[in-house]
Amino acid sequence: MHRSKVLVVDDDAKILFAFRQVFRKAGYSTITARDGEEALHKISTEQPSVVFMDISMPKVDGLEVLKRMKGQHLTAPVVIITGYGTMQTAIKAVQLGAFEYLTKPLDVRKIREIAERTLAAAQSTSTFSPQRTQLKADFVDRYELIGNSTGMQEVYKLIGSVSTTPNGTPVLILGESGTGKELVARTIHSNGENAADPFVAINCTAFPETLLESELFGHEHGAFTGAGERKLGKFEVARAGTIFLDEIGNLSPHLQQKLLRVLQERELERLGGNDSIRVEARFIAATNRDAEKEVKQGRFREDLFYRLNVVAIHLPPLRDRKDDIPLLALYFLSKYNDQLKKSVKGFSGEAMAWLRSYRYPGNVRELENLIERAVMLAKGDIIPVNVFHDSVRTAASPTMVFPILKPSFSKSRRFILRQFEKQFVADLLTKHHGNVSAAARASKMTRQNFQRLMSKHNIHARPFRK
Amino acid sequence: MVVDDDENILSAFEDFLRKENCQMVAETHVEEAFARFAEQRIDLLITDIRVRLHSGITLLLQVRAAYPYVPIIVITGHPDIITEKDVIKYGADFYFLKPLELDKLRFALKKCLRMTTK
Repeated sequence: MHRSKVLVVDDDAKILFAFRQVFRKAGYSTITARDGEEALHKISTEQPSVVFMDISMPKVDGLEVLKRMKGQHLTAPVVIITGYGTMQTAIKAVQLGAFEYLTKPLDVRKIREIAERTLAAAQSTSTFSPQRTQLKADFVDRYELIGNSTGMQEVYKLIGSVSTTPNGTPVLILGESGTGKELVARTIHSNGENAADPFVAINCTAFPETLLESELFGHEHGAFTGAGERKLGKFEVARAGTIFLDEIGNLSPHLQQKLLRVLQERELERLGGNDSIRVEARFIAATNRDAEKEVKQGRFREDLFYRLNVVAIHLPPLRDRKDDIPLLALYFLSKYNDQLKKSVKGFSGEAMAWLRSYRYPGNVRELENLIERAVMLAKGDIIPVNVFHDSVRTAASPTMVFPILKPSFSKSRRFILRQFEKQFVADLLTKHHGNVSAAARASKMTRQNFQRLMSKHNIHARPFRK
Repeated sequence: MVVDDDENILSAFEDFLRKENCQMVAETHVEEAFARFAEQRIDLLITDIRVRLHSGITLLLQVRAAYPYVPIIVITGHPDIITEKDVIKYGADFYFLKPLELDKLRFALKKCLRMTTK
């Protein structure tokens, strides 16, 4: 049997040398290329069994090589090597048909393992390569998902695959609150073929039922008291884009049934109307509840759940991907430095250790809030650990701080009002051990209004139940 | 590997695959199936679209991303949930409706296994 030939492409001679060593021991023959042009040439002339390629190279980069390989019908399996396992690279690599990707720093065992797996796969057959549509993915930075953890890499891969399919396939995103479900939905949308059409998000807890119904389905002129002119529903507004239904677990039985019909028929009628309107948008639904339990307990229709759950994406809670915390913390630091015109340089060692050890019942959103507040209050270059101690304590303490943080009156008022609402809700929930009805009664609010306040601030009852 | 929550289907597959000289790993949960996939050397995946409350399409996507060359057959009793075109686009090699026709299945099996052993 002839020896397997591996092509390694990198502009760094040290990396090439390291790969050579690993592969010599493993019994493969190694050829190398220093840039994308040379790589393409060697792929077509030498026909390597597998290619390991750095993504960032001068002139022709790794993704460009993948693209050109497709154009020239070259089919060697490619393992992409990247410095950062960023979402965009991962999604693009999968869309362009990369076999696998490796993140730096490189781990010898991992290299060997991937090489073996890739070769085993390649030896099976070469005519059987997955067909993946190539897509243009212009990405808006503010919707970036962040994290290099394996859990997130799996998420990126699923986004990459699902975004290449047409709108017929619904997606269900499952994850605790604050894990970034809407970001995933937006990312699927912006990487899809219909990114130019609208992305319409609607939070199913944000409206009372009747209003939600007319928001979703629209209504004709005079359909009910107070219905003025004809109004288009969100399904229509989304056209061939995406309709994102957040907190779907809260949908009433009546709306569940209507939604099921839309999914089955891909048609709807406006309230008070007779014309059938075609629904072209992709459905993405999300819930932070234990969806299976809801189905088993009969609160959520099983047939609707089946329809929505064609592709499921599980978002891991932040406490299960602690290695991503420093990256996220720095990202939010620079975001709020910009927004608040501050120039905080970083975190003290203790502060970072605290951030890594905290459990984040509110996930990434809670981390973001913690850092927003820390940047706001920061006096020096470095954020000390006690800011975070204070933040977590204020949730339980009755005293309020009114720092005058923003020059604009309305902005300050909004900021303080938000703090007040959050604290008010959290305090009541603490007092009533997470019993929402009791907390609402004590505040003389309706349960519905109280819950709306909770979801506005992404507060959940569960952490308060002890 | 065959993934289905219906014991009757699993045992029917077991008989069928034994006659075709294949070893079968049965799984009744999607998530466990993907975990086991990594441990075992699987030459072919056969999955239902619905496995309990989970989606076989997610499994299809995950396996396709991690093992581009493993052939996949998707079966379903609910053809209206996803179109054949989409299932194929997601990387499945064959898509069959229940009740399964053994002749078609045998043809697909032969074709799939030829792909992996060639």
